[in-house]
Amino acid sequence: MMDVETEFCVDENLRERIMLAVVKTVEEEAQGLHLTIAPNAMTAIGAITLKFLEQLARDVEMFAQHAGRKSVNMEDVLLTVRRNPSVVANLMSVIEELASASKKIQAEKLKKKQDPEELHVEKPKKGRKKDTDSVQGRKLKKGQDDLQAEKMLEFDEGERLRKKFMA
Amino acid sequence: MESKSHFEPDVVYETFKQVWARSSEERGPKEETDDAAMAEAEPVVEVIANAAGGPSKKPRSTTANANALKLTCEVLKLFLTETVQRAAMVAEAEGSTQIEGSHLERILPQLLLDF
Repeated sequence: MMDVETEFCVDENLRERIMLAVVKTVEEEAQGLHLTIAPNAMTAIGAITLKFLEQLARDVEMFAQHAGRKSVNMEDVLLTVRRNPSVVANLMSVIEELASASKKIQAEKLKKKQDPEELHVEKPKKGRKKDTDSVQGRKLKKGQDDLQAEKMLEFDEGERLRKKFMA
Repeated sequence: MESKSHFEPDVVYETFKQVWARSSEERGPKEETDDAAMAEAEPVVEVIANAAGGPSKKPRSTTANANALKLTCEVLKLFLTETVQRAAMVAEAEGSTQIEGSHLERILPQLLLDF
């Protein structure tokens, strides 16, 4: 028999912070629709959202483990909303934004790291720039800038995810 | 551009960690007692145990990457806006200007199925 959990896993402080975000989001949306929201409805929505988030947490943990990973990634999150194509599409565009943002940062960092001498040799042709990116990406992996490396990988992941979910 | 989510990645991350701590607690004591039984158990039992999110012999502490957290913030925002919009439709159909619990009740089953 399944145990029905009536209690939440998260502590009170966290619950408050989540509730705050819920209230802001709901009021904004209701305002846009020129409606108000009853207090008990707001409380109910807060509870539902908390349950939703907790379930999502359990789901993504399991998905990551299933894939043999210790770290939850974007793919796991996408999997939780697979039943809702419009949400998936929405998230894909968010992923693209993140990817293009990290690509920008990547490009800027490369400019800083390149010596004036090297600029002669490496002509900024589009095709070549991509190769340089991936080589630089691997160098960065070894270097101290782990965050950048992660963003590079996640850009590739974004591409892969798009192909997977938009097929 | 649409408004940004009010949810912060670190709030999401802390929530995740607390949920994961709780779920590993629930699995922890189970792992010890089941290990002996598992050795002799039929493959079928193991499949069921794993499907229930049951014992995997190595203790794993899960983490999440930054983009997964940002994505989750977005998911939460979408969930909430969807909830409000659906409840609003019911309220407006009734001619009401306030979203009540009764409106929420009506849209809840389908909402939870869709998410």
